[in-house]
Amino acid sequence: MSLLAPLAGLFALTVPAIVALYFLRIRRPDVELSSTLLWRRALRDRQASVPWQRLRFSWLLLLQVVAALLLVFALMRPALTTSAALAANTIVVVDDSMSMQATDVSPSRFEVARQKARAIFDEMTVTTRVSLIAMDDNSRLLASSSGDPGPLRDALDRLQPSNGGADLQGALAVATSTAGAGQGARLVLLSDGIVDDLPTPVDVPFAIDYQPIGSGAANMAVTALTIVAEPGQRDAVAHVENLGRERATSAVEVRVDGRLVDLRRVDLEAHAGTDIVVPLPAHAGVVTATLTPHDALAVDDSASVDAQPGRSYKVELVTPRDVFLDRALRLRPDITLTTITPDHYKPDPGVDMWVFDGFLPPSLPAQPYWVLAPPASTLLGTGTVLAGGHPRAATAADPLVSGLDLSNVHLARTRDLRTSSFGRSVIESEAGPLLLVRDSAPRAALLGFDIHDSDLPLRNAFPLLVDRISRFLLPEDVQSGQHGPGDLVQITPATGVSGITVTRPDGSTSALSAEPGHTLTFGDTDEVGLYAVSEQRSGKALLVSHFGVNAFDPVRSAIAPHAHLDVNGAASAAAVVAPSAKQDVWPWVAAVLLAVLTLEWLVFHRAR
Amino acid sequence: MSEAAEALGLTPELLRSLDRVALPSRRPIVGGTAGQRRSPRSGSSVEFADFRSYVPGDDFRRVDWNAYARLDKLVLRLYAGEEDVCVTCWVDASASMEWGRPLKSRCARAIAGALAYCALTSYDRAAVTGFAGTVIARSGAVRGRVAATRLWSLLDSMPAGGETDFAVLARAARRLPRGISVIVSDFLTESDPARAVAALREARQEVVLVQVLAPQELNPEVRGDVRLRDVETGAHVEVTATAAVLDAYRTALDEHTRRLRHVAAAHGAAFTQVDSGAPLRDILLGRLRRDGVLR
Repeated sequence: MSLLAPLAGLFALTVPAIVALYFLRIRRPDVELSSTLLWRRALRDRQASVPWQRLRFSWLLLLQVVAALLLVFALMRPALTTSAALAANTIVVVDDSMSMQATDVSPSRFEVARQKARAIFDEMTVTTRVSLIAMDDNSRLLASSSGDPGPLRDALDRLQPSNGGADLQGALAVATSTAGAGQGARLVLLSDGIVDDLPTPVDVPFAIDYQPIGSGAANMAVTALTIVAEPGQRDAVAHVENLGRERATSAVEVRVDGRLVDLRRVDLEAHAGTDIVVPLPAHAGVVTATLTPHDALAVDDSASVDAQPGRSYKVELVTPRDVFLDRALRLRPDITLTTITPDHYKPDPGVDMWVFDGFLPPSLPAQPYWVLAPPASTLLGTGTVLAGGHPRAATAADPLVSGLDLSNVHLARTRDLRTSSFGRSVIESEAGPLLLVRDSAPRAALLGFDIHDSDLPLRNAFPLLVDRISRFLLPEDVQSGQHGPGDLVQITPATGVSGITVTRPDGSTSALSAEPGHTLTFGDTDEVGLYAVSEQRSGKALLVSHFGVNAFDPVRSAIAPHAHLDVNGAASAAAVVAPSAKQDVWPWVAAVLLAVLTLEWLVFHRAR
Repeated sequence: MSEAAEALGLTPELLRSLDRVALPSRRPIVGGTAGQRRSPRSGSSVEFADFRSYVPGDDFRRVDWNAYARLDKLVLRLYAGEEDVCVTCWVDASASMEWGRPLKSRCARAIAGALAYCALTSYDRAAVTGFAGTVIARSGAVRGRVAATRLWSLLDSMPAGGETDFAVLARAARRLPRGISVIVSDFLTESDPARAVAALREARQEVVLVQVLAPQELNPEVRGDVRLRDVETGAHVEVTATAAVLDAYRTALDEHTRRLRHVAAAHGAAFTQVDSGAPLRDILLGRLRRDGVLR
């Protein structure tokens, strides 16, 4: 029993008021009599002449006080905790995150959640409103219906488990907006409790009925697969973890381009992991590591990665003397650098990027380029030489300079770029912009000073700045690194490519239009597996690379279901996450009140 | 038949019935002039005056045995030497008597008129005095049946108001000739009637107390929370008329009646209580005869 409106208890102040009325003598109508002699004798010692009187027991007083207390009790809206009734406004949240694919319960946690949701839909009545919310990385309202379970069933049938996480906060936000301001809403959370941590406790205007799904915790997973390149040798390194609560054994298959190259047994204690290193043959392509047989959660039992080295770029550095730039550019392994003097410069369409140091060609190339220490030029909008000042980031959050320490860089002089319309400013000083970049194709950068007029080459920031500018001008064709389900993958088409086709692990394809110098973003990566990237060049498709999307998340792979779920902080979790609904009982209290008032009426008239 | 008699409810039929009844005296009374009542002064007159029917208590020696032989009925011979008495009806004309449905004053004045008529038909003298805090109206002692009309007119036209004070009777008693005094009142007053009765007794009056109460006084109709106002004194009493309070009222009424009976008995007076809502015939020929006021 709980009270939904406890402040209404203040109305209990009416009780002493009722009692006070019994202390006070009421104003009575006058009635004329022949004589009050006998009445005075009859009432002698019964009534005093003071404006108040001794409180005597009275059934009327008792019944009126009881009626007032019942009224106050009804106003405080007492509610019983029930579990059977479907609330008038029920919100069903179905967890479709990766861990719900676990088969520790038959046929799977996700299917059990669907069955429970269908059972709730079957309880709907014409006065019941039910909303269905999917909880994953992108929690959303799937359907909402009053009385008719059809739309809800259709939406539930279409829902498939994802490979992402469970954004509980997002689901609660959607549920809160769905519940509205009405009272008595109830949220049924069908989940295994493996959800993204809530950054802060959340207050929700409804009771949460968390129904945990799942029984087992046993699960092994491939939580990392990378290619480690050594001079003359490349190795595939797979990391296998036992995320269960008991010792487990499995076998790890490592395949290169579909061919089995290694098979070994792993025997791991609970929460332990091991690395498996497999030397790769030359020209190895796709490397796949798979646990056999599959355990309760299959999606994290396999990982794929493209072992082929990335695309190589041809870069020409045109400089009369510089060695700092030469060394910094050569640090990037996918760049093949050629350094020439300005006398030997001639345009070459086969060059992927030009670096002009203290030199400006008569016409700017069509490929990305970087100009340093430019002469005064109307082509670039460069002006006279100014005192350098102290370099600093124009915008601290700019990824080109983010985290770079420029405070110890000193600059003697620089070319005036204040009137240049070359591009946006990245580094500036009291003399105005020092580094301008252009985002439109072809990408280009303009550094206003000669690096020899500063101590920049001697600072740690220099190689980082060169690497970032070169990667800005020459991005990788496919973004390297580990990609998880739902991640965005950036693809940069090479020069002359008209389109990109991405083939997903299930064989379906997505075609992307390519524009020179523009980077494409591919986001349809929910499926785990190997994605193939093909370039359309001159009407022909050419497979250029792969990237793997893998479920490398030990937190989500730890599939032990959570019996309790904290939403509103640990202290109040039990109150909020109650496996029940609140049912108003004030109508029953009001019925008793009516009976008491009827009895009071009878007593009053019987006394007259 | 006068209008006053009609106003008092004394119909010809009722008056004919009253012709056959009289006010008895409990002991011999020394009156002023000849009448039907026995005089303690024997042999004062031998002149035959009239006959009348024998009533229990009459002197057997006065029975006319010759008449008995002829009529087969006991009759007394009346002589001029026998003395009459004066019957004085003291009628309470206070404000409390102007209350009730029907008004208690109507009933009280009708009783007084009837008793006076009975006295006149018995060759006694009769007088009527209205009183409250003072003597409001009084008639002289009259004799003869025809004089009844004067008394009835006085009773009918007598004003009402004020508080009852029985000391008025005590003061007036000193001037009374020997006779019978009938006090007709509701006796609902703080004024003690015992002093008046004692004074009347000292004035050698036979006293009869007739208490007239309205039906609403015998069975109160008060309901709920009310403030009762005394029409005579203006006093207020707040009452919550529960069953217990009504029971307490009836107990107080019984106690008050018992006290009046004690006062009457202590002074050798008669007492009767009548309901003003009852038919006048039932009161006169029923209640008053049963209580010995009339016979």
